[in-house]
Amino acid sequence: MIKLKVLLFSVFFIISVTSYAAQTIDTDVLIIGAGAGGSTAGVSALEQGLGAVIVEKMPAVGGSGNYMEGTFAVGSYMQLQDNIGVNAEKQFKTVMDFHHWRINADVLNEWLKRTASTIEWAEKHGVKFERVMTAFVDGNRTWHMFEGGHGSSLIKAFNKEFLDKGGKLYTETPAKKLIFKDGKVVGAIAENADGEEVIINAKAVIVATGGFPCNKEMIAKYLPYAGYLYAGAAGRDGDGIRMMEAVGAKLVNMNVVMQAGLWLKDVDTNLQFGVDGRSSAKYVRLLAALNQPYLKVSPKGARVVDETQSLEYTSNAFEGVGGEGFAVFDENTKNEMINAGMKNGYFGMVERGQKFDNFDKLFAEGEKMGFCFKANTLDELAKKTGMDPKLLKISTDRMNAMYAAKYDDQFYKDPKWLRPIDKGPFYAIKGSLRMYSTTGGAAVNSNFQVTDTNGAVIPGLYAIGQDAGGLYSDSYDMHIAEGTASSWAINGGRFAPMHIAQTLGKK
Amino acid sequence: MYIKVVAVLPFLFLFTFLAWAENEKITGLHLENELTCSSCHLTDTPVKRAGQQACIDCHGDMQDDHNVVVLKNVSGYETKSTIHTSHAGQIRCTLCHSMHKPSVLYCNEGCHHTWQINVP
Repeated sequence: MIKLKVLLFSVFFIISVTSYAAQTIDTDVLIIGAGAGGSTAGVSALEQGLGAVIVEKMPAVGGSGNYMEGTFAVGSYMQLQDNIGVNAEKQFKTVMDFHHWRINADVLNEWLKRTASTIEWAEKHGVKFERVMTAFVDGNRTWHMFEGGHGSSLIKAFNKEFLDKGGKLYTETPAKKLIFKDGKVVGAIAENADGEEVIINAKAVIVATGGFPCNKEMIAKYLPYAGYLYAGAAGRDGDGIRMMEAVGAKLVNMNVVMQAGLWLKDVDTNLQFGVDGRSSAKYVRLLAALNQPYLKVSPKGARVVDETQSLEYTSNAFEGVGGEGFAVFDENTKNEMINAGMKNGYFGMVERGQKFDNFDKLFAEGEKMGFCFKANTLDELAKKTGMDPKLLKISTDRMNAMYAAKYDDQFYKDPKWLRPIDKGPFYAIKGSLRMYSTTGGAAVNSNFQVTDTNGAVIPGLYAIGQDAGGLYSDSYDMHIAEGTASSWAINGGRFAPMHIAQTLGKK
Repeated sequence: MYIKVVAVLPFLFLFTFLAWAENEKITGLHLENELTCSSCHLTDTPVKRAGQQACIDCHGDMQDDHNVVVLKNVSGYETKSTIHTSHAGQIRCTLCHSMHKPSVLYCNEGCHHTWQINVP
């Protein structure tokens, strides 16, 4: 009997010594995610005199906060200096009209009104803005550009301040579950790099995990096109949304993404997206060619959209035909791209008017890789690309007729962008839709508090950035509001801790 | 019967630890300098990664000249970087530098993809 007891004791002793011991941390504000939103929340929380802990799943901070180039604001001092008159009222009306009043109007307005002061607040905390610009001809100049062209400067400045001022950052420590007691969120359970459980007790939790663009199941479930590919930081697997849903959060606008238009099909991001000649984006000129305002067709060969439309409208149109399609052009248009240049360039990565002098070589590589197609006849091109030759013929015949008439009676595109497709060989570049992020998430109020399916606040729970929905009805709205996704994150990060401090009686 | 099953457990744990420890060999300069498992792991039967302090105790915190490197990418573009105080924040040494397998540049794995540099 004694032997058995000794044996059992030693077994349990060994098990308890080797089993995973839980670590407990107590704080005022727990921030889940150290991206643009989370890093900003960390700085803001400390500024409010709150204790703050950030848990970050990845080994490095920043997430897609490293990718953002600029951020949105209206009525900022930088805009006023340049006589840019857009303000909260004007922008509110434009945006609500665009989204058909199907978004959260209160949340939109409160956010708009705060964006101007956030530019100065960020500068106070070490962020430098180079200028305010627009990406479009005669566009809405709301895009405040980060120094160096990337938000990594914000991430670096905020991360440094957070640590210098006593904030606690745990990387490789994914949060797994919110702690929900008596109807309140009072912390979260995370897992550290050694697989040990970490219990974090907090008076409030800010969820900032960046949406779900890396999660294939959620993409198939929520988005109009299940094959939506993504360009941005890894780790955005929908963790925040999953955790919030488990405590009753209402999810809104789950179908909308930050639409990036057509990209070269099945080509790695870093091989096609980067500054021409200065990066690894070997095929960026083909990406630019894909996006010139000439004929684009569905997978079967039917024309889809006015090819001068914005990324989001082009994306919407292609979402309707399965998310993929082709740019189709002939030998003459190819020579125009080579000799006269690609008129539109591509968002600063390929200069406007860039002469595509290495077209033949690059296109041949594209053929080998399977996203470029060349044929002597349109029928042959249809065969190679899987298009219906009858449909392709209808599209190209009509385009030729419209070119001759100098009038697009199909989609009313500006006639200067009409091109005939009648001189062989014929070319096709295959594209599929990409996004920079999902935008749907938990419904929030203007304090970034998460609300449930009855519209009631879930105490202790905040969501910011792409974990918070409510800004977009069925499309991204870049062409009327530039830099909103980053601004939503940064402003949420600034204001959620302020509200927390208020409710805790700190300020 | 139940006792026999339960009695096997401690040995299973022990064998797992030993197997894990033996699969990791010390390489390169650490081997030449006759470091052992316990030099970094503080035990001769380690079950997990060595702590950050083990690296810092000998190598310092990399905030000095070792911090500035030249990064080149495939198109010939070059830039200087303070690689240990980058926008990636404070990342653990062993994310890039390994004693037991080839070192990698985490910057490439995460986002940049094409910096060309030898990682010690």
